[in-house]
Amino acid sequence: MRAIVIDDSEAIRRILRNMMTAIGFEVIEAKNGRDALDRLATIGCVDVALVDWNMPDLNGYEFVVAVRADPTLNGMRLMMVTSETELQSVAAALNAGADEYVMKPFTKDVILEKLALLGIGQS
Amino acid sequence: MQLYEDDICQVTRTIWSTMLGWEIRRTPLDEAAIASLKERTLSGCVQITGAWEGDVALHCSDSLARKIAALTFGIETDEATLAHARDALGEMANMTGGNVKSLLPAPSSLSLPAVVEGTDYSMRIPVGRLLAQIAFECQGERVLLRLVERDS
Repeated sequence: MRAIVIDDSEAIRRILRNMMTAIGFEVIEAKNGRDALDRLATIGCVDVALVDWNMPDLNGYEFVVAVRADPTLNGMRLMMVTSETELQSVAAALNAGADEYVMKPFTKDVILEKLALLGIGQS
Repeated sequence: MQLYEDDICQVTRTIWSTMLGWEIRRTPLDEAAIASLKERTLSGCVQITGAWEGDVALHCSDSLARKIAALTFGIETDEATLAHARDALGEMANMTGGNVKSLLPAPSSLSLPAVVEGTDYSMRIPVGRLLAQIAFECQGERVLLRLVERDS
């Protein structure tokens, strides 16, 4: 299984990478939505993307919209992992095509629970 | 403002315990808390714009920021660089701002975090008033959280 972790904070990418590799994922990192789309254009679709909201260049919401408009990325699961806590933001992300929404701060258990809801992550 | 401050303290405790596994405890806002900012300090700040406008800033010592970085990056404290410390404190400020925003009128947007560092400096938000200033102690060091509301 492959995951892409998209966050402008290297610290958060490191934390999520460690969580995901511990449960058997190969993890690719991207520092914003544009960087993530570039990497996906090279490596192809992954099983799940963990996506921050507030990022420079292309933010998480715009990334979700772009992924859902791209048929080559069909079936990729999208989990927002973000400090954006307003219910309107949650609704906007889900309406745009995000599958799950995790608010920071998060625990490993919450990430695992959300992956299980998506039917992935059980190695 | 007591309600705000209690809620902000709860948000702060949750973030620090969840992300770092550390207890952060509110302390009196005394001279020692203010004096601690005269040492080498890092400040992480995010802006909130929309139905409520202002800034949330976290101030702590360089050494505490490097301890946070070491924990989040999984490295030794003496291996933590200023870049690691900036990244880690910026993310702590980002989480604090996002969660404080949920206590304020909606809708509003959160900026990307900015981090500055130096010795005995001050941050001033033009046309703003200090809404809350809360001192904490964590890992034997002081942390200061400031919430500034911009005048409309």
